[in-house]
Amino acid sequence: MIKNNKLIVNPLQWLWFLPIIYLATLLSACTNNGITQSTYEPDSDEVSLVDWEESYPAQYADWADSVHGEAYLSGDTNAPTCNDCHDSPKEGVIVNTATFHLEIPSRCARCHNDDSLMEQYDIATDVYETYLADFHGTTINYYAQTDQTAIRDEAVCSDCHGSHAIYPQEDERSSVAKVNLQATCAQCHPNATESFTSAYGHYRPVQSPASSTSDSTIVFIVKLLYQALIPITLGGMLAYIVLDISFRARRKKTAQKNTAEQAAPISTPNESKE
Amino acid sequence: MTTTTQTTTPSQEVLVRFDLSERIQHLIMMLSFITLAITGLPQSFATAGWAQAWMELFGGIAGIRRIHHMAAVIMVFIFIYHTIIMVTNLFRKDIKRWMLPKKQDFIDAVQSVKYLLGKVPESPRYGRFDFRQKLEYWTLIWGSVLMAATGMMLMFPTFFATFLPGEFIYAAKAAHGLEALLAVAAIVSWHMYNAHFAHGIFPIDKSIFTGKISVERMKEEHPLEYKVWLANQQETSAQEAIDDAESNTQANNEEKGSNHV
Repeated sequence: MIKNNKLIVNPLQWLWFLPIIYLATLLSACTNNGITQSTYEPDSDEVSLVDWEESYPAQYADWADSVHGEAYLSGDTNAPTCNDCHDSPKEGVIVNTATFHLEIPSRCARCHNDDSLMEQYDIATDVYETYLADFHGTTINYYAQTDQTAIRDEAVCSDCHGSHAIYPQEDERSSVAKVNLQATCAQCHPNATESFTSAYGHYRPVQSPASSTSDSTIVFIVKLLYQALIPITLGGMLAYIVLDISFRARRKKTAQKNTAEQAAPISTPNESKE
Repeated sequence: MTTTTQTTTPSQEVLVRFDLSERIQHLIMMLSFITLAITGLPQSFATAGWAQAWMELFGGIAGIRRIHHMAAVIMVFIFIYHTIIMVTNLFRKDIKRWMLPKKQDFIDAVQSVKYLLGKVPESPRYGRFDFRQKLEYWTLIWGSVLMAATGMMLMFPTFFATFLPGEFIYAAKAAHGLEALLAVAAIVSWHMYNAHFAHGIFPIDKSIFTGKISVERMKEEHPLEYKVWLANQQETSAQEAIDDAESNTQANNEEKGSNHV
């Protein structure tokens, strides 16, 4: 019936195999990981600082000099000590485990995600949220919640900010100070350039509305563009669809009416006869 | 051999509107698009509980990323293949450039809206692709280029940061997620409506999969393309009549010469 020989001898027939290969590849890539629930609970054991200092003098010295240690030793009990992040030294400090690594962001977040606490120091409270919104945080959070035995390379807070020797960004000793940033990134990204350092910067989630103050210029432009483009495009399309549906409904109605009118003259003479 | 006579009634008559290559392109595009959408969406909302359950179905966050990347590579290949065909078609004289946007499309769009509102009695007469299809096609082209470009920036951030400001990497992430949202929403609404509901062909318009369309629908939806098809048909049947006559004489000659069992 179809008169088109060209179609039957199309040299591209082998392409039919591609969808099959495609599905097979995807199926083979589906390897399921087991789900384990998080068992993490903040440790409340209080161990004296002297015990910690004896057991871990180098780490203690780093901490004592850091922004946390300095604040604590000068009387600010809000600042974290060893106990807040680690378990008791007597029972053995667990640090080099997959689980501990995955838990670091949520341990830091106990204070840094606390609005009222951070307010006192004028420190940003969205650092945890913005960390989770990026690839590092997204991945770490996923494994922290599903498979705590997973050994992951993605950076956690301490990988960039340091663990004991944490300083404010303005301090040149800080690993996230502008002068040290490239070297810090290069720990994992060997080819990191100067401009690469601004690829990450606790940016707000992409779903958050555009803001000229908290988004970088280019991100602001992109968000703004889509905030206009999405409603205009979808609105236009939906308006047309609604028009089309109502047109079809109207046409159907008229068609029914016409058939009814056509039927009417036939029935009228019949009725008059009776 | 194909039949040369058209004995069927017009209502049952079908013609081929999409060749094999076009059907396969659509199929692979469709499969990779769906895969990218269902593996991309949970990544966009990765911290949500439902997204984690969703990702588990695809082998966790590592598995779902791997599948996403593979489907992306497949889509890029089909895109390149399509581009090569379209660009070569531009240099062919026997191919009509149906897909290029023209002034007529804007006129059609206005007339179509007027027609739906009941302001004008006649619907616009479309060619191979009407303005709705062209709009979708060109947004798909734009979307594919943008998604591929931003996707690669996210896969190779250190490389792209050697010549681009770092903020562009994050801007690429924003554009990737937001364009995806737009593309999926447009496909779900616009494409699904026009391909499944609009022409009274619910539940599915099979012509992109079988390549065939009824002459009746063709006349109604693509009258200008039908006209061209008809003209080509007459031309080829005239040519075929000549070919047939030639081959018949040839076959007759061969038969005479050989010992036919």
